Amino acid sequence: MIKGIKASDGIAIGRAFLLKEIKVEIIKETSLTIEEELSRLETAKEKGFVALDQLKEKTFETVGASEAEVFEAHKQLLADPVMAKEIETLIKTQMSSEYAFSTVIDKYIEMFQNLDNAYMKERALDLKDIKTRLLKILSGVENDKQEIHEDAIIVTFDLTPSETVNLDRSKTIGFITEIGGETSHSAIIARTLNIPAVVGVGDEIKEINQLDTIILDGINGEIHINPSKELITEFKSIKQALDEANSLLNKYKSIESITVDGKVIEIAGNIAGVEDVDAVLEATGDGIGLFRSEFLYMNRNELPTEDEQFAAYKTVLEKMNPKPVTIRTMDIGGDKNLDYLNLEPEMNPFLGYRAIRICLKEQEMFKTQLRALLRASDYGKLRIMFPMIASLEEILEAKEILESVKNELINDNIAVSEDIQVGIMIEVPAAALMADVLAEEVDFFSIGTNDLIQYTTAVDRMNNVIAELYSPYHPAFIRLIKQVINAGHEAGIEVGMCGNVAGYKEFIPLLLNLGLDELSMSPNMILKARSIVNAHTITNADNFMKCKTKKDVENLLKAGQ
Amino acid sequence: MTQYVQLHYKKEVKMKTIKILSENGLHARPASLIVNACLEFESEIFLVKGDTKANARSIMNLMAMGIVHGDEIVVEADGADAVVAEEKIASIIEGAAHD
Repeated sequence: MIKGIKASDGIAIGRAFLLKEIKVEIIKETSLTIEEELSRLETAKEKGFVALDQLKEKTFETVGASEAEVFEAHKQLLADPVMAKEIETLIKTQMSSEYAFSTVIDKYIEMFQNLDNAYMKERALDLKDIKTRLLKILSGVENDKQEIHEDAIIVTFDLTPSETVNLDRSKTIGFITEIGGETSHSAIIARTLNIPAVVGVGDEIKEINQLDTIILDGINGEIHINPSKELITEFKSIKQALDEANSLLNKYKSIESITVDGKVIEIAGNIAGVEDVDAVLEATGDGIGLFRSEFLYMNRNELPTEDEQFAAYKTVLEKMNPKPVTIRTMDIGGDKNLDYLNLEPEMNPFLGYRAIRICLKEQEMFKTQLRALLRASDYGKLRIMFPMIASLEEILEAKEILESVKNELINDNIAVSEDIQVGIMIEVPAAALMADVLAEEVDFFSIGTNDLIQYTTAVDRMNNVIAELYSPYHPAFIRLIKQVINAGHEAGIEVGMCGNVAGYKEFIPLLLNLGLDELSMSPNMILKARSIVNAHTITNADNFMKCKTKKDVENLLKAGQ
Repeated sequence: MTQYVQLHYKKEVKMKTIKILSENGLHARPASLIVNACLEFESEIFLVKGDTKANARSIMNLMAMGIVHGDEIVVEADGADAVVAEEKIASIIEGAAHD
């Protein structure tokens, strides 16, 4: 197995096709006059322009508009007036067009390669491509299109744009290149065509021989040469699963999440840190429904500073803007402990000192987080969410602290968005039962299912002995959800769900029927959820209100009610 | 006590100074747009970055300048239509500055 840089996701299983590089011999001297040499170069350039136009057209049709523009840039590079002058000067010293042109363009190639910017370095390849093109025209080498076999995994030093475009795409299933990075043409084209690629493999690429059987694992950047039958079988099944997920992905990407009867649902992602945002963007989530900010506090020896938090929140808000980002204030305690807070060990940590309860006692710590959040609010659409709310008093107190921090910032002349929503998690039965009262004080509810189930059914979800009792099918849980949604809607606020249940395929139709406005889940579930939402027509959930047992609920769900 | 930065946006006084916000700097596509736009004008047009100056009609020069994210660029034109040319080229760079 050899490794490289993963440039395009996916798995390909096929046979290696080693591209041959065509070399053109360059002779410095010329027997032609200066005028003849100049006009020879001019004619070659004209032919080059025509060929580039054709390539541009072809790329436009087979790949896309932005890749086609590459060849427009090539035309300009070839037509460059500054370079033309330099070439002309050399030809006037009795040099051949080939030599003069190569000398000048080589100088630029070197210049580009020395730039301290990966993208620009890659552009040296564009110049090499132009160089090869013109030299071939000058020396009369005919088009060198290589016939490739079926299921070909192209193995080459690096693919120039024209090589890439000229490849028979019906037969090419992957690229492996010796040099190059994530922004090389082969990488970009591979991503556009949605075929796997591993680039920058280095010297080890020589281990691959013509027609070798290859597993190209673009997910891990690995290449298996002449693998065992077992490995091929294993990768075939991975590939099949990926293909299925991908077809779903493409169909439901970048479209509105809307039910058949026209209700727009926000399908958002849950994240634990800045690094997770890309997965939500990739899945075209409608927002972030839960940013578990406590992860900024974990795996370290002291509290995160205001600036550290600000940087994280700002990045997430900016990346998602204008889509909403719901940031839950620190939810430590329960199963998430912080050594440096020196919290006393408890008999029942889930019923103990956690989340908002800590924040309302340790107000300096809470204020630091709120300041960071408010400062970041100017960079996107922020929703602040308080966890573990069990009473109206807690909301009022938290809001009062938030208000005082906001006033401090405004007095210090720091920009704070005027459009910040403040909401709470509904995860304590007391809050669910009082939802109509609480709704008057907040802009949104988000139901936290894991805790709501465990508190409602009095089942410790960390205790394996009673794991069976912990169930989202409990009719009491369904009734509570119904009550919370109704109370929220009566007060005119949105009700979402950010617990695991929001991402359960079988539950989504029920949640929509109950009236949920937002579903937030692990990013890899988003497209699946959208496919369900967009196929669903909202009805009522009356039959679920009649359920007496978990089994009743489960059966109804399984029957697709 | 933490120091807080002034978050309100400051407008540049000098109009033609453009900050490059694109992750890839002034890459091939905007460079190509600039070269094409220059064809409309008679003036000599240059992009200036610190001590280096590139002929805006030469994509080679523009790209070899290695304009990267965060660089500040000034457009300079010299000729009959210099003012319009500066405006136009600056707007192209700004338009491309975010992508």
